[in-house]
Amino acid sequence: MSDLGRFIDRIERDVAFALSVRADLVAALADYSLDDHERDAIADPSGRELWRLVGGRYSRVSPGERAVDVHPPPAAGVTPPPPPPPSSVEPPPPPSSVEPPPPPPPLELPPPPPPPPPPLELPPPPPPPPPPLKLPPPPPPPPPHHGGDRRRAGWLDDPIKDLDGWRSDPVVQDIVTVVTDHGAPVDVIRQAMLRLMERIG
Amino acid sequence: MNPQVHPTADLDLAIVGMGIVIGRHLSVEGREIMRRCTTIFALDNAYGPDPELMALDVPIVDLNRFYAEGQRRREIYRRMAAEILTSATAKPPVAFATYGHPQVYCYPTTLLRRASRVLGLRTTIVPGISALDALLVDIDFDLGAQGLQTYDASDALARQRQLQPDVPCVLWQVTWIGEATYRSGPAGVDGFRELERYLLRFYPAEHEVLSVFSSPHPALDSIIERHRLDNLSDALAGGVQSGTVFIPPVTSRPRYPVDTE
Repeated sequence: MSDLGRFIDRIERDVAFALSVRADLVAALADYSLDDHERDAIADPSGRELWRLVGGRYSRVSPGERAVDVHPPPAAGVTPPPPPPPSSVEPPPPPSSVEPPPPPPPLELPPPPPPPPPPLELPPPPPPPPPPLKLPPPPPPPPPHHGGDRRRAGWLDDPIKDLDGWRSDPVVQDIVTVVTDHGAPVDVIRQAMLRLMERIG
Repeated sequence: MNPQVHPTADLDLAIVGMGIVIGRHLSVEGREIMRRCTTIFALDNAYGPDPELMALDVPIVDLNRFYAEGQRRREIYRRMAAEILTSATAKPPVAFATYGHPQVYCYPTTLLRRASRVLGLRTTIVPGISALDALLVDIDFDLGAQGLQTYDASDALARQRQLQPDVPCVLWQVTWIGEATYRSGPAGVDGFRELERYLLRFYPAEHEVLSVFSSPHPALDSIIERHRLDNLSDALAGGVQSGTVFIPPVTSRPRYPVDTE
């Protein structure tokens, strides 16, 4: 392929990529699950308005105007009102005279920094470790488990530490029986699962 | 092959993190597992379903319908987990797709893990981009230099955690201090005041803290607001209630020579 061919090929790929990204974004916005009456504004999870659609793009609502001013969308076929004009900012006044302003007063030097703190003494070396305790024999290895959850043993608050206790719990055993009964109706299984959640969560 | 990726033929339940930004953060691993599932149970971040999820052409069950005003959140999560497990036993494999990371402030994952072990369900977990990951980018901070302490705000208050003012701190769920029930409206100022009083034990009143709301959508910018600590409660009550507060360190700890040989 010639240089020109490669160049054209590159341009075509860049354009295709740009169009695909734009299509993705348009699709994402179209699928935005905001209620219709909120489509002109987007709120934070607490319902407070944070962004507002102005001139075709979402803009951050300034804290001063962050009220509950969520405009309803225009009816179909109605041209939306134009975005509000930018707040008028008065231009700075022209220089009134040719006299140069008085020079600023000399800057005061900041006070010298405080002297550095004395170096901290390193703590004394720790006492020698106690003699090793006689450890009980290690527990038998756990039964092989299915699945890929990333198991961590020995954590202080391991959420699965009570697994053996749960398994021997008659309520849990009853639930497991219901759940593994392939003829049980879905509603029965759902209720059993709820009971299980109350037991283990 | 990634040993954590299980063929769905040997799987009952996949727990997948969707990340923070809708339509942008789902991993290839998560997508490949979920497209082979019979049902996806989706918990989004209140900014709408993920278009990537809908593109998988798998039936989606919206778990957000379980949220109910005034109901205990723990009970809501139990009902979500029960719904997922019912389907996982009846018609596996199913997926639980949650925004963020499934093991960063996601109690349904804990319930599903426990139940899977009891019921013998084959389960895998796919990480997602967490709120912490997004925050680090938003505030341009690398936790490698000074470390990081991070707590649930209610937990820090209830246990009176001793914060280290020389270590950057992230507090989560600031808008849910002391609240066990779900609400859709903004948080009142009382919890914020409790938090402010607690933080003033460790930091000076003029210390600047950041309220961070990471963007949930590619068309939106993240919001970072800076507040004086002694104005934090009023600022949070009247401003963005993101629930995440970053506190820069106020001191540094002397460094002793360390023999790295």
